[in-house]
Amino acid sequence: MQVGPLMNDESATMLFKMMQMAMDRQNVLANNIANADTPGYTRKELSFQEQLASIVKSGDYKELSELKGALVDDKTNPARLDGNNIVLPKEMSEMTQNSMLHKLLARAYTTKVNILRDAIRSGGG
Amino acid sequence: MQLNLIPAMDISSSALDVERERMKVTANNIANIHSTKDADGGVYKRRELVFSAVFKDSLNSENPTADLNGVKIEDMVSDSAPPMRIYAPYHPDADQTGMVNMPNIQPIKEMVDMITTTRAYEANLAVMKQSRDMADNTLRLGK
Repeated sequence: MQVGPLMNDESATMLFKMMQMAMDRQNVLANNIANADTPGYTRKELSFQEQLASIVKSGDYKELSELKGALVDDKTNPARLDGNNIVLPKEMSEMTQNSMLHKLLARAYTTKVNILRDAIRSGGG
Repeated sequence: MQLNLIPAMDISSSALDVERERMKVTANNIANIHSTKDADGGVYKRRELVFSAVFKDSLNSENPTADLNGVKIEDMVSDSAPPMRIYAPYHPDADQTGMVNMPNIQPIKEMVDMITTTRAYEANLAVMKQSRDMADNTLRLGK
């Protein structure tokens, strides 16, 4: 019987990468909130979705290690008089969502480990 | 910080620092609401802080967010609004006509500033809490 990679398969690689992205995004959102009153500050966002989509499409999950995202200026919100375009409630809700995503990914990995653990135990009784 | 287990801690703490300083400035403005003497000898002028975003050149091409480094105080400026003039001929700083220049401080403005500062402080504390939860989740991976 062949035993493949038990825990470090493609989906685990994906989960870890997405958790890393959520951590990085937390940095960006924290920086946005820290600069909520800085004149002339433009909202920053971590852009990696397109790169991720193309990797998923190609199915070559080894490329995931190359995925790092890029820091971009987000000008969707109109700037206030002081040139700042941070909307605090929006940032807070983005951050909560990001945090929940991170939690979800961690839970997904835990479930994965638990499935394996159950499989190992079920033989011994 | 070498071990970056909790994301964005230094960013959020820089924000807490500047908000605390802003609170000090607001407190100082309110404390000096009747000060007719400033450092330059004239009437006290309302102070205000100017913030600026900090970016460091980390040369870390692996992680684009490594350049983000929070916020700092750029400058403290005096409000150039004209002083409030009141009639008080008994005051030692009164001029020929009995008018005294009082600081250009509006208590309502300062109160609003104080509320804004408190809310900003709370927002950054919330960020810290979320960041810590993230690290917690990471530590509990697979359990």
